[in-house]
Amino acid sequence: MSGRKRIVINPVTRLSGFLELDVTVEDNAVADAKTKGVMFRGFEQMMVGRSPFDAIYLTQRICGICSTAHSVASSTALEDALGVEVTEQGRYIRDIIHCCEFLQNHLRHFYQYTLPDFVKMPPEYPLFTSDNNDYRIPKEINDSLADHYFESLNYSRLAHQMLAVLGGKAPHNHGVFVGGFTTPPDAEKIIHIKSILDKISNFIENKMIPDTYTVAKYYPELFHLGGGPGNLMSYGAFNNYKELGTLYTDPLVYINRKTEAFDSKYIEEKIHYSWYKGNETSRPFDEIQAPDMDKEDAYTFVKAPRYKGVPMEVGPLARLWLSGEYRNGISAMDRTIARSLEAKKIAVIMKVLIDQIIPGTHVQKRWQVPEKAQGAGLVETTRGALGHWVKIENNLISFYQIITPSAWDFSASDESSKGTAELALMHTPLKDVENPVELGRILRSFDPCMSCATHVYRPGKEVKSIKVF
Amino acid sequence: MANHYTIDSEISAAFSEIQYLIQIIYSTGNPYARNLALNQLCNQTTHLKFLVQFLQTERNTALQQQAKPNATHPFQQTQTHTIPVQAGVEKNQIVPTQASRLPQPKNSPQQLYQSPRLLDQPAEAPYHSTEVLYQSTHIPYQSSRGLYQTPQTQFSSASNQSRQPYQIQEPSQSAQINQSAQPPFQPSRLLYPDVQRQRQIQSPTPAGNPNGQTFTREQLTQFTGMNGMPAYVAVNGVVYDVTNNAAWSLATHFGLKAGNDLTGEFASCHAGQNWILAQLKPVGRLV
Amino acid sequence: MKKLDIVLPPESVTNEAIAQRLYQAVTSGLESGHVKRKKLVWLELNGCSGNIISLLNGFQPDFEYAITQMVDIVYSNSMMVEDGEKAINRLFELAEGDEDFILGIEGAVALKNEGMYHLVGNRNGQPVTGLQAAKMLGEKASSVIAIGACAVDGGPSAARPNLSQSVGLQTVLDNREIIKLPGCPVHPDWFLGTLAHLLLYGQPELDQQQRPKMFYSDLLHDRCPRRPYFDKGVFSETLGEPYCLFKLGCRGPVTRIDCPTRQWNGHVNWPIGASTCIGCAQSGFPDRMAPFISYNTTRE
Repeated sequence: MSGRKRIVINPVTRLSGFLELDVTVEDNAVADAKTKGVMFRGFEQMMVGRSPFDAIYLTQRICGICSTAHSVASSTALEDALGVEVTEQGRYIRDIIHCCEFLQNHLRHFYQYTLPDFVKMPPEYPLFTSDNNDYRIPKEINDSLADHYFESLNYSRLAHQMLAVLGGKAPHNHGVFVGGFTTPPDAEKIIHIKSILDKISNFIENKMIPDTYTVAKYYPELFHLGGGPGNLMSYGAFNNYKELGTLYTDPLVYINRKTEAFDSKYIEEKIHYSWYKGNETSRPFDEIQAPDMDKEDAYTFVKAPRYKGVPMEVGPLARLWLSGEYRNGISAMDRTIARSLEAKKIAVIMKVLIDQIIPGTHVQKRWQVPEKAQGAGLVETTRGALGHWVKIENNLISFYQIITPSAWDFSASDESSKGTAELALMHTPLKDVENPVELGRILRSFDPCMSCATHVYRPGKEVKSIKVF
Repeated sequence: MANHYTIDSEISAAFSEIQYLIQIIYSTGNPYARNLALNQLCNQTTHLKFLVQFLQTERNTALQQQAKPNATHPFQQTQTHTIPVQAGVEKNQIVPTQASRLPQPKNSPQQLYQSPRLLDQPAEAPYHSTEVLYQSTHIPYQSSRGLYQTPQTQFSSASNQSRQPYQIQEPSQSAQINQSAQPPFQPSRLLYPDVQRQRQIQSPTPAGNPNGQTFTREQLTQFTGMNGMPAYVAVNGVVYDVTNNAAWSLATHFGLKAGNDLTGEFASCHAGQNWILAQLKPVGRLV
Repeated sequence: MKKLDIVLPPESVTNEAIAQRLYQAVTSGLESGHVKRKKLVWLELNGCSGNIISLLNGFQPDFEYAITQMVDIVYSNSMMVEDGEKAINRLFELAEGDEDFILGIEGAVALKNEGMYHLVGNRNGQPVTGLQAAKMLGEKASSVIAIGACAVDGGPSAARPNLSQSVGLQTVLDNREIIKLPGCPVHPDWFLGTLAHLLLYGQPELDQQQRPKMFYSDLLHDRCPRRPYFDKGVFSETLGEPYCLFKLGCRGPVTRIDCPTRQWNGHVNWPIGASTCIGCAQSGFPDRMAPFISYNTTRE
């Protein structure tokens, strides 16, 4: 069968936020692909005029599944602006809080979001009914994986409980702040999280990782699909501790098959295919371009972040690759495997960090906001590289810029290249054009968080009608 | 005293409510309804106990007043019992007010009285009136005179009210637990050696007799509650101090800022709730 | 005399105890077949999708219990297996059919450009806006629950300058009674307790802001374990100290919610256990609760 066919999938479910996938299929293979965010929130404008400290709690509201990431990036940016040097204890505990969120995310993404693409869930519940007829795992194994779907709920919940023990509540914690964290834990809290961590580690090692390889065994073609640009980037995760050194990965990029040091000066955002007018290319601290929804060619509000002019992939696979711990390949299945392996890695890092805690260490001070300052917070989060850039004037926020991991992975095209996920989808052969299960599998391997990617939408002017196609 | 009449009527109302509840308990076969009634009965007896103790305290105060006629000034006698400032108490000390010794019923008697069958729930509040509810739960008993007092009257009566460095505005039972000035339990004190725990006794009130104090709008804008300035707001021409008002954290209240004339905002959100103003500390007049 | 049994000691009427009794009643109701599983649509609109994540954090009952024993979730963008048009068709089937269902909505309704700032899906080549879905289902559902600050009154999605022109659900369903569960996010117990009440006893008792009284009646400040410090005027100078946080910006005195006694994530901690309350369960969050933290407040 040949001929062109257009497939629009909206909503793409089992991800955080809203994503539309628009692909053109030719000869049973993807000939063109566009990923579009379909929600606007405008968080950057929201920050302008607020008290700088409010950004830590308010930017968390960008995303329900990875709110801690924003609190970490936001406090890091503010520390830069306020000239605050974070103590090692401050870093340790903040990073432990962040680790909890990694674990929660990876568990939920694998079991609740990814697994139903491969495992037939009990069909008596409407949440799980599906027309997908490409379930290949033998019934017995399939059913045990489906059981783990429910079992995992307990462990992701416990991961959030650890977060709450240190951070007050989750999602949207109160414990991450300028200086590291707010309330010092005591021995009871430390042993509380240690005990939970033990259970989660066991689950990851004995269930999650074997389950991942089971999926990989029955869907091996995904090792050859969803490659993407093959450029990887990390801002540096759990690195550069004064006494511990680097526990995970340093700031590195892998570009044109070469690993090199990361430098933030190469980050830029392009707007050729996005609804903005102004400079085609801008840096994070530059002025914000004016929106223009009538622009020809544009199809999304998401800008196109680029490093040295090319699209980058960020996330667990990028981190494991750059730290040299996983080099099997860059594909949809490698991404999923990397996520599970990283969960184990994070649990190990967390144990190391917990052993460093000195209970009752108070790190909070009466922080003073300067009249004028600016700062950047570049951190590695669950889904990859997250950057917050803040400018302060008259003691208030005057500018806020956020580039999220999903903005990298689901970036728009520019003049010379498509976005990362779009490239990953290109040329994917589809077995059944009516049921293109491959597309969802590839997309979800990136762990899209569209709540995050689409917060950067800027307003279009009022137009009478909007061309969606 | 007018108070006594109102308290008497409250007590008789509570008694008849209790009788009514006992009837329900005996007549209903529905265990759920019976449990509700029993709970209500508990509330009513607590309420009654409170009223009786209140009467006793009143009597004691009256005796004290006879002994020391100047100890309490007239404003507090008739207004509310929440701010019975007693002269002669050391200023640095947290003044254990009468009210703070009183047992607190869960809800204000008025609410219970008006809606005896409401379980544990506070009175219905219009939008934005959380502060109102807050206040009402902490003024266990308010005389009708206090309710209808105009701001101007308060203002004049407040002239005698020497500004206390610290007043327990919202007394609760917890204040009863420890009446000494220093919190006895501070295990973490050593962790914060640089933090002075002692109360600062500087009164930020502008010098001079508050009775004669006037503020222009421009002067009022300086009282933002920040950087050492107290937080003042004006309503109906009277300037109030909200520095330590619980509903005014960071000198802001639902997006409103201290240092402003909020007459219009007050009227739109707290219409008919002038008693809120009666709980605030007047410090001068807006001119 | 009739079997007038023993007069029982009063049952505890704390919020926790009431909610606990509801859960037990749901269990027995379902087991006896007295309660049948209703359909639930969980619609995510303009927000962070944090309330569904919070729902997954529920301990008793947990998410598994909720979807297998309490309700049939027929739609949830975050959780459902089906996607694309097959998913969105479920919403239209319910809107056009006669079946009874409960509608839970998280997120605000973006009004800008007739709702085009937030799409929930695509049907027959046409975009389906959040506005359209909220109206269509909101008029049909047997009960509507607004879950979280954004759905209740716009919340963070409507924070100034509110470029997406987000509003709370009531604005687009003006004649409809909506049970409102403010909070950012909503505690799983608040939602599941409300749902349990709906399933078993019908509408829970609501206050004037349509919040269930069993969760939203007590002022946080009144039950705060740090209240004695407030009364004594002992205020924290920095975050992380164990004293009253009022001078740093705590909004507990204006927030009605049972956080201090219920606590979060399996009842282990709560915001004031870490930092200040930012009033996320109070109407007007975040703009009318801002600023959250300041060190310049006058300490009298």
